[in-house]
Amino acid sequence: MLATRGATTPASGAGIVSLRGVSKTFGATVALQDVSLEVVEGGFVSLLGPSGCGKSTLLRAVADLVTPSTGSVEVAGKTASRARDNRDYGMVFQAATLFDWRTIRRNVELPLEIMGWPKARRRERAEQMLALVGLTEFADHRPPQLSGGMQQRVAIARALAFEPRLLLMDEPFGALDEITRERLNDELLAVWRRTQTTVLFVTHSIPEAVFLSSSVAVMSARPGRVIAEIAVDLPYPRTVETRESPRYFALVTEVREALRSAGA
Amino acid sequence: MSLPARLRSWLPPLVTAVAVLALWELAVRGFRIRPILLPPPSAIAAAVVDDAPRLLSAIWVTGRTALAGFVLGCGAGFLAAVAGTRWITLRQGLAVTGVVFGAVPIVATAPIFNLWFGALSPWSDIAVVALVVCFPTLIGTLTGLASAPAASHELLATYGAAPRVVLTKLTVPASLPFVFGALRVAAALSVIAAVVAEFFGGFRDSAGFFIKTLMANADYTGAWATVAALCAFGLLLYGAVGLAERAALPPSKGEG
Amino acid sequence: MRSGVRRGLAAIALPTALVAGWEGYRALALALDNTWPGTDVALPVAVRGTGNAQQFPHTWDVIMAFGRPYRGAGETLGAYLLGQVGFTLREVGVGFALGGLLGFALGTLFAHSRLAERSLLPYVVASQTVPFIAFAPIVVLAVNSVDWLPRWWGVAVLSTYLVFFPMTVNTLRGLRSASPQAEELLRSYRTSAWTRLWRLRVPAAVPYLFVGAKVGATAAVVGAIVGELSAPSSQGIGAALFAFGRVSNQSVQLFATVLVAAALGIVSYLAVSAAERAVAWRFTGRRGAS
Repeated sequence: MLATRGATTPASGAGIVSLRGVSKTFGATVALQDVSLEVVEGGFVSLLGPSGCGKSTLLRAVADLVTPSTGSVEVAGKTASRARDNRDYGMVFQAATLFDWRTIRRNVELPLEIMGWPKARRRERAEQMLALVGLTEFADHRPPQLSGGMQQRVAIARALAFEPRLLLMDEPFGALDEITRERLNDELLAVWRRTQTTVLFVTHSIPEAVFLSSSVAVMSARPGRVIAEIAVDLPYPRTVETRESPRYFALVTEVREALRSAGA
Repeated sequence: MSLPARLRSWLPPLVTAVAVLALWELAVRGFRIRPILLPPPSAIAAAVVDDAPRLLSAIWVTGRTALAGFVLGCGAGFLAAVAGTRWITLRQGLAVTGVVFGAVPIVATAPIFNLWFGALSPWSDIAVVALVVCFPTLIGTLTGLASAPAASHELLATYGAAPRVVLTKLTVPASLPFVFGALRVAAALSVIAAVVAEFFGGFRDSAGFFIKTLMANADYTGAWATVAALCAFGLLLYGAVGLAERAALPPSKGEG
Repeated sequence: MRSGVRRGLAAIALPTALVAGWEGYRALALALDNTWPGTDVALPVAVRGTGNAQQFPHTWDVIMAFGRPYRGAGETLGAYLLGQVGFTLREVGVGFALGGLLGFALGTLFAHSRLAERSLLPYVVASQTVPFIAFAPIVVLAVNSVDWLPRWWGVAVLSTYLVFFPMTVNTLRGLRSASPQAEELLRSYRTSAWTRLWRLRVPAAVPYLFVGAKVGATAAVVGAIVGELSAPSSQGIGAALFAFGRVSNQSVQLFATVLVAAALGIVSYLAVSAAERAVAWRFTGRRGAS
């Protein structure tokens, strides 16, 4: 059941990501049940829910890493697998998954190598992306020398290297401490505004979801359904003042209530 | 690494070496142990110098066998493991084979190769060395190829990467630390296996034959000298593998 | 499929595949007259010879040879080899035990003293690059001068040499594997270093000790066989291999002996594996061998 409170779905109904009636069963476990969701182009949508609610599975369905048992997934107007072939999206996982044997620069170049870009162009783009996330001076270092937060920034640079229209993020800051996490939230928003990518962001942190997003999709516990879509009308750019504003607290409370009402 | 740190890591083994050599020399002279049994280091060093040309040629012969077997055996082990990434049944079969044959004393097959290739042919010895080093390399490579985390595979899946791309960009590079570990073991094993194979009946100019003859003539000093030269070669091979590892997996800026 | 059944199938599949490959090559080589098809170039391994001098006997010829006398009209090959196995097993057993104890002691020493580790570990590693086979006659001489030690102890000592290295390395790794938090917890209870060793670090080391023991078991067999080769007038499987290898008309017996040697290695490995399954779970709380 979908309760929309001020959702920003355009009248045409089709966003850059379009999920309709998606269910997924693994053996005897129903991970997702009849999920429908639209993500507007240029938006920042968080998928928020308790552990095991299927939000990661949903993200993977969009990424075509998991095939839904029923329902349809459309990304940029194509099926999920065409979108993957077309490299319409970049993905960031909870683990940074950088390759230890490559320098930072060559890690960012990885998708470009696979796509067959010429060497000079790859290098140039990698330098650009590293500048975007503020890690230019670490270009020749290797992943083990960087902290967890820095590694995730490299992962973000890598995901955006080929300028995809969509960025999928699976709890990317989940393994980091609160302080680093807040800083990376700020950086992510800055990068988002510069590149104007659409972001679909999975998290189980209510403050993070509200701070980052233009819309929060709240999911119930297993079997996962989207029980509420809450529009976040805080103005961008969002700063530390945003985190301390009354409207922010009100929205966080609203989201928390929605979670609790689903018995989460 | 800073100078004092470097010194600290080199000093204890160096001190031990000097101490052991000194004690050895003193014990042999002091307790008057028969030099036939345990020659003093000075005698061994003298023997090395005296017999240097013959030693060098013997080491060269045995070294060639060890090297050839090393390249063949490790190459085969590595390639077989890589082939196993494509067909899962093959990989399981290889894993079982690696464990089973790893438990077999391969050197026992040396007489069979002598029978097939002729005792005087280098191939009988090379075959033994190749078999000995093949299985540790196979197991090490299999472990290494499986060591890439699942998330990295998922990452490449999001790029729609073909299986060959995954192999060259992820699985094989991730396996290299394990492969080089196995290669270091193989380097040491190859020299020993070569000598053992030669003991079973090798041709005249090999180090193994040399040692056997010297032993038969009770010239233990000469035998020790040959052993010392073989050790040096083994360490050389080990060092070469280490250098290759450094070239393939260079340490990064601000490290090593 | 239950894992026991699957393992049983795998155990049968491998020898079957090997025998099939062996007989297959034999048939092919004979059909091609031992040359590459269409050329004069000889195959690498030729199938020739008759009777006991066959270079590539049928599998069943080798099996049958166990039941026949191996020399004139004396005892059967099987009985002879069984005796030799017994002899070699003594050396393997002693070598394994001594090497295991020495390796364990060294590993414990290195775990407790960084100085000892830095001074001695490089030599422990280097010791394995030395062809110990060269020492064999010397060791035997030394052992012979001790009247109360039987001669085969020389070979046992050579076995020890090959066993102590994997045991040292794995003991060291195992003792270091205990979690630092657990160590701190015990420290907070004011336990002595000795108690901590036996109650925490040794149990944590058990899986690694078995890894070392499996490598060591194989190494002990190799050491015994190679040692027998070099110590003059010795008995055992290694001596039998050498004897059958030197003459040209006992090749079938040679193949049989190689099979026995291989079996010896595998059985030693399996014995340690079985011990691991029986014992290790008590220390790790988990069933299942590595």
